[in-house]
Amino acid sequence: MTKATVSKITSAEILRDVSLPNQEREENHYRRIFETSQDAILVLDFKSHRILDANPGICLLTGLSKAHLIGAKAESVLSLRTLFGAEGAFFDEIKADPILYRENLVVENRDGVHIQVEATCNLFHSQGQQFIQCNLRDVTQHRLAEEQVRRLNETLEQRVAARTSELESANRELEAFTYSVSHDLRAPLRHIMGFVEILENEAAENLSEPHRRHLSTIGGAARRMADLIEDLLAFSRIGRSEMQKAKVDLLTLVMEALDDLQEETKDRIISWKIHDLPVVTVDRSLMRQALVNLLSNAIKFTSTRTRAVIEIGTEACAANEDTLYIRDNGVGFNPRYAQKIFGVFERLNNAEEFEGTGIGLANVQRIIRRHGGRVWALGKVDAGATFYFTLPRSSVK
Amino acid sequence: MRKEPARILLAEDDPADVELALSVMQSAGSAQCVEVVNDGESALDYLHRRRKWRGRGASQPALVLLDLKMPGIGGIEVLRSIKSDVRTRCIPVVVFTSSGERRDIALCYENGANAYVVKPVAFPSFAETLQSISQFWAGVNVPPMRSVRVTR
Repeated sequence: MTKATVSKITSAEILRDVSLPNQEREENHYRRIFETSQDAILVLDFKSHRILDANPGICLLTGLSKAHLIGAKAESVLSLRTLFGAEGAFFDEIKADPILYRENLVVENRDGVHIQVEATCNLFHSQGQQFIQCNLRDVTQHRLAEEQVRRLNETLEQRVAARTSELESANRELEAFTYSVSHDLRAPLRHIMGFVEILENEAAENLSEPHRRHLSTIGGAARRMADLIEDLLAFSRIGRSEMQKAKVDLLTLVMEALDDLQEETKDRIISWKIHDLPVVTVDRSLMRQALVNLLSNAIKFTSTRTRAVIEIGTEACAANEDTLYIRDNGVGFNPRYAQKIFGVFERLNNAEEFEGTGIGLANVQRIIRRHGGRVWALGKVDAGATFYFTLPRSSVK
Repeated sequence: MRKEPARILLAEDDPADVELALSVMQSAGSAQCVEVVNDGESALDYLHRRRKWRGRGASQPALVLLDLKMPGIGGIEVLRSIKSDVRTRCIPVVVFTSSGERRDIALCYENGANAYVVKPVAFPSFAETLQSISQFWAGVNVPPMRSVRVTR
């Protein structure tokens, strides 16, 4: 707002300066600082309260000319009232405390504009006389910026909270949508499967061989869609269900998961290597689902091996988390797609050879992330895969 | 042919589900004892012998097989109404729905459902489930007797 005209000091002047006598040179230095300072500077006589000197800065700040200021009594200058007061209380104060710092002063310039000012004043003796030097600085912009920052900070938390709740509700809506879509898809699917079955049972002999095949294709497609919908429902349930964390022995959970998978392991030769597993703090049913998905994955992708080896263990782990792995000697995957493997409906292998909907690993990722952990996979084509996940060690009892 | 009093009241709005259910009952030889209503209001009208059912016999069904998602008065409201009315609260109600949601399950039991069954998507299990429900509730189970009223 107020900008003192700072005259440029040329190098020629500096050179000339050196040739002056000491006292004159000091006086010259002082003068330059005084005249070019961006601060507004006043020099007063302590005894008479009169203004002895005023720099261009104070003229700019108050809008008063040097001639108007010099010789005037400090308290009589209206625009400097907030600093000097009407009764000259300022002079008593500075006598008690020769270096006075004042903030939150308001100077009203000739145009009626209010300018926020800070002032540093000091009382000093020189050749038996007492003088006061006052430096005033326009802090309007500074204060405005401060106020803005303060206001921003105040509203920031509010805004974060508002956004978070918006996101949460959008998320909930999405989950509800997924649920109701999957749910509503079940009924028509039941009808397709039901009537296909009735036709197969009661009308098959009236159909030609190709027509019977079409009917069976419809039935197969409907069954596959039913699987997808069940998986989607499970997926949406993971996001919506409340987590109930408790201490759980991971080995027990692995055993339970293997029980669930009996159907898939019954005609297989699998050599299981199950190492010591930690006690973890997790939502039991979610974690069990994650393990079922991971193990079923390992069982599925080793199905072409005459001797499948599946290993479950922990890595040398950090203090704040457990790292677990499930390793198989199955068909593996192209490491380029190591992240893609956790996407919904992502399948890296061909559907003919390995059945599945492509939601299992997405569920695993979701469950582990809800527990604050990470999942990743390492593998090579035809050389097995290892799935890792971490679980933070929580202080929950 | 004189119609046998209905042993099972099926409250189901979806015509395809009704047809599938009846086809199962038929092959089990028990289709004639099923009465079908297509919404909640009709279910309550049937039980209270109102409107269309004013002249029906005095006996109540051995089982109400209740869908949850129905237009107008939904399954939960029908259940609540049956179980809060002294005249109907003893009638066994089995909820038969597509929903396996924990919330729905809890809500139904809280409102006095006698059983909760999720409609299987695959037809063989659908048929098997429906048959075992009707065999149990309209066969094995002894229904409440109309003539005896226990005063509390």
